[in-house]
Amino acid sequence: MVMKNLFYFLAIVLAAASCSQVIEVDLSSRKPKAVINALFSPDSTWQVSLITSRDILADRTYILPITDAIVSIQTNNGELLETLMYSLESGTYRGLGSPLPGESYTVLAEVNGETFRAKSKVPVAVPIKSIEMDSSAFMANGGRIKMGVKFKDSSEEKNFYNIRIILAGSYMDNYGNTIVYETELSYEPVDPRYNDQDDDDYYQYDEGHFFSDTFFDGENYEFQLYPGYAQGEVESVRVVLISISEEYFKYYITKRIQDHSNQDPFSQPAQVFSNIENGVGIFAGYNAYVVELK
Amino acid sequence: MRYTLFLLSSLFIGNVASAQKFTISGYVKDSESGETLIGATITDIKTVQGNVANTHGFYSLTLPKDSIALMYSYVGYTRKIISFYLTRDTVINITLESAMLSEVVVNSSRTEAIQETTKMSSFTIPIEQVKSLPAFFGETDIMRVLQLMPGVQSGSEGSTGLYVRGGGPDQNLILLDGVPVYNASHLFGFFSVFNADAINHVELTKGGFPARYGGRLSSVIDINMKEGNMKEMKGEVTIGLISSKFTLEGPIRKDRTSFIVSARRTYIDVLTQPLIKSKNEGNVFGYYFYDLNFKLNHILNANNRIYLNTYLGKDKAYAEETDNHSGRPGDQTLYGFGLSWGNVISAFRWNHVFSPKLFSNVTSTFSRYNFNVSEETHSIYHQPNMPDEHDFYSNIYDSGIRDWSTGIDFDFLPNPNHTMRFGARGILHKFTPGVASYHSTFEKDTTVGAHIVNAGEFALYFEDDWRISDKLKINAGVHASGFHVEGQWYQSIQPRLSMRYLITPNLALKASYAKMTQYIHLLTNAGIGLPTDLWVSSTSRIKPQEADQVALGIALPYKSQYEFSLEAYYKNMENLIEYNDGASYLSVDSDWQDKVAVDGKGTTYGLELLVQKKIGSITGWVGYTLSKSTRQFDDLNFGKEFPYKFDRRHDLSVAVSYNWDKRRDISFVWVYGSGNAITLPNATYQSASNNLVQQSYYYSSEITFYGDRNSYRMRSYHRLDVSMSWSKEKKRGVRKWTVGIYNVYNRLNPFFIELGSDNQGHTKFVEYALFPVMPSISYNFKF
Repeated sequence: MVMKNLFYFLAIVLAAASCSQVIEVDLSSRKPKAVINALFSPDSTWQVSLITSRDILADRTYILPITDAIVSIQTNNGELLETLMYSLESGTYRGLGSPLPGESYTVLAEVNGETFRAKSKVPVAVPIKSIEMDSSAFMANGGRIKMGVKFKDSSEEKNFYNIRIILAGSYMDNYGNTIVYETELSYEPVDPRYNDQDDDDYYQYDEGHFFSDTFFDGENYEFQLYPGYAQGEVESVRVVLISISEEYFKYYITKRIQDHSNQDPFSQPAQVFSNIENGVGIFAGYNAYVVELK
Repeated sequence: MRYTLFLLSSLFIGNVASAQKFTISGYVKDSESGETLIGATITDIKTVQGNVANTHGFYSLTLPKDSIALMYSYVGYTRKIISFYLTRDTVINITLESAMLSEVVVNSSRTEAIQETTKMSSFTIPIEQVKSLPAFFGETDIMRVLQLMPGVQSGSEGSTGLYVRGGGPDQNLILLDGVPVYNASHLFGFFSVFNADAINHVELTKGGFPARYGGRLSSVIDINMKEGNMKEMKGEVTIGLISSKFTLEGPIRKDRTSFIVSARRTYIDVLTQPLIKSKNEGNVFGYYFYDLNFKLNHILNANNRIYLNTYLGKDKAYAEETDNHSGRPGDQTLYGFGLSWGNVISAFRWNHVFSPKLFSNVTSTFSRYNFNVSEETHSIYHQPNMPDEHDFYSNIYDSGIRDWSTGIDFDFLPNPNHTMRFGARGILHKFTPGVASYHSTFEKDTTVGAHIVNAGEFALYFEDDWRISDKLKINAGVHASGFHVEGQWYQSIQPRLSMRYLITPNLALKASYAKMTQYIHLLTNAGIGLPTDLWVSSTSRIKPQEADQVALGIALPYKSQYEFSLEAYYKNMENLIEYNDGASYLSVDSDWQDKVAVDGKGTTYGLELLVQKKIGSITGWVGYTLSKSTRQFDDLNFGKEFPYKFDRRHDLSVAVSYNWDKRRDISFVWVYGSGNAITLPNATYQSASNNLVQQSYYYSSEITFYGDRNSYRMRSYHRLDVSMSWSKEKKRGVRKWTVGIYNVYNRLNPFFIELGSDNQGHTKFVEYALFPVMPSISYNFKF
């Protein structure tokens, strides 16, 4: 808060002293880029979004899909697995099969003679061994219950994780109707090393926290967290431990840094990770293990 | 080793063998004020052997028993020649007369000839020339004048920061009377902390560093304060648009003890306060800075002299607001906000002349830079017939660095062919890298942020300025340093060599190599010299910065009035740190070490041309730099090399002063620089999302795609400043009016660019400029 005041003070000083003019900027790489987005897991069939980027100065706000591309999936040894078909309904290229755990895949998209390519692996799902709730230090923790998610990390390779909490329940609206809802619950990791955003507000992000096994490689580990507050009557809680590929991890970490730095004019602009050759976006595998608490 | 022994033995044997040699030593001073003339040259006209007065004005020259003619000269002063027959060691304390006072037309006095010295990549600007050039808002500024030299860049518009040969602002060792100054800026970098009225001498070295300097990679800016007039009481008052200042100096005991005190303060807050109060219902806000220089100088006897000097400077911005929060009578909330930063510097020095050939200087110094932001709320709840209830909370953010240091330096001049310098120094650092504390009625003390770090830095050096033959002269040495922090020990041996070879008597070929190590780092991401920039220590995770620099050049005088130098350099830097993408100093919740990219590499090379005219009615210089500077970090820009933020391909400065007559001076400065490198967004695109929630709208945000880091160039920068001054002798002194215009042709130079919109609401890039054409006026009275 103190530092924010400093920022406002600086902004006033600079604004008072400065004058502005609109300029034409010649950016050499302003040709629209192909954007491939696909987060894939064994739980669903192949689905790849292929769109064009929007020029930074364009007034267009709608999404412009590329509908006439040839999009295919190859196995790790370069064999064609499946050619995906464009679906008008979803606005994405879809396939019939699903990726397999532990396998690597390559996406190839040919657009007007140009080829875009990316590779990623589907990790093997890591089972949750148990979930512990701890209210022993309820008051000391600011009126919060501590949750622990226990699992065994594999020592064979570098592993990356994402933990999510999904609530399902119902509430009565102002007209007496029962509304059934499902929502994602944000949380704060107990260990500050896992706060992947540099901010006071740990609860502002959906999609949980992302972390690697740097501090517990090959060990049994308990990831502890303080869940946020739920509203209404909760009927079930799903705790999801997602084993994610390295590409997935880098993409989300850099995306969060960009979200955060956009609010701070004095920070260096942050580029979001992409593994798409010649284009931007992400092609990354994941594999989720779900435990439902009633 | 055998070679070293041979050198030393030959040196001393040579000394004994030439038993008929005697040493002339002493101090060179200004005749009117008694100020030492640093860098004055002493030459025996017959043998053409000579030497230069050191930073304390002391010189020593050993010559054979013979009749000699010693010429003492210094730029802007009438030279003096003394002839006598040398039969024994002789002390000559000489005074030179300023050319301004003399009727003699000075056309050849100068400091050591450019082709003679082994020094390269360094320059001295006479303080009178600094004062004669156009000044920003009428405030004469040494740092702004240094920015006009080749190889030195200014960073952002209006800033007094120095970026030397592609190095960062933390890589400059700024010494005020031998004491490091950590933050040399006032008002967010628009003014430097150095009050030109109190300064005697400024020298900037950007390569070929002699072994006596260490601890920074890119430059040494050695600033010496005046010592105070030994003869009579003198003073100076300047009233400007932004600030006023006064200087008073004089003898406490004539020719024995002197003092100088110089102070400056801005007063816009004082002038505007009544208006702000009346317009804002008693609420106030304001800003000021001040600085104070004080120096005491006492000659104990012919061989001992002591100095005590202090600098205090502070910037403060503040706001106070009173509010009746509930509307009930008696209830009140007082809100206060303060932002302050400043340096405190103090040094004690003792010069001792052991013998005409051995001079020593012992220095003990203290330096502290502190930055503080505070916010305080105090609420009073009034209830009838009850004592008032009070609630308060305060947030304080502190950062800074504090040094205690002590050291000893020796100058040993065994014969005219050798000037040796050696010494040792120890510094105790205390780093406070961003600590926030919170106090309130309910919580007494909560502290977050990085912890305080104590560290020790040690250095030893030896250098010899050795005239090997009439044509070849070298300065060779070694600087050894060590750093101890939290159980971690770093050490470094840094060889230094610079040489000059006379191709013809007037044309010198020069070359140098210097290895530099720096144990402290500055974390900065705004590039405008904010006080929030954090000084941090090397740690077990953050290694010391290192640089290797080579330079090659030629130097020649032309028609005894001009000096011409052309230099090429290549510098390689390692272990640089920088904030990670998106990391912000606005947050103090995490350790700074988690927010930085480490093991960065920097490469910078360029060509520099300087043509300088130091004497005559027209003086000035033209400086041109062609350079390239890049950085590479594994964790930034996806590991790809990128241009340094202040990489500037072309940089040109022209500075000219014309001494019209005794009463009038006119000067102008024109600068041109290629546009600074910035990162701009190119496009946006929809992000991927892994939505696990059923019956919910599909959520995805937009990602901004940036081109490569610093891949866009802003428009070029150029600006013309002019100033004119009129002096007049009055009954009690000399008064001087100076009128200046900054940015004469109103060039709107780019400061930063952001996304905005035009009049039709279309998205466009909007460029901001800081300073349009700005006139200034100041009044100065010297007595």
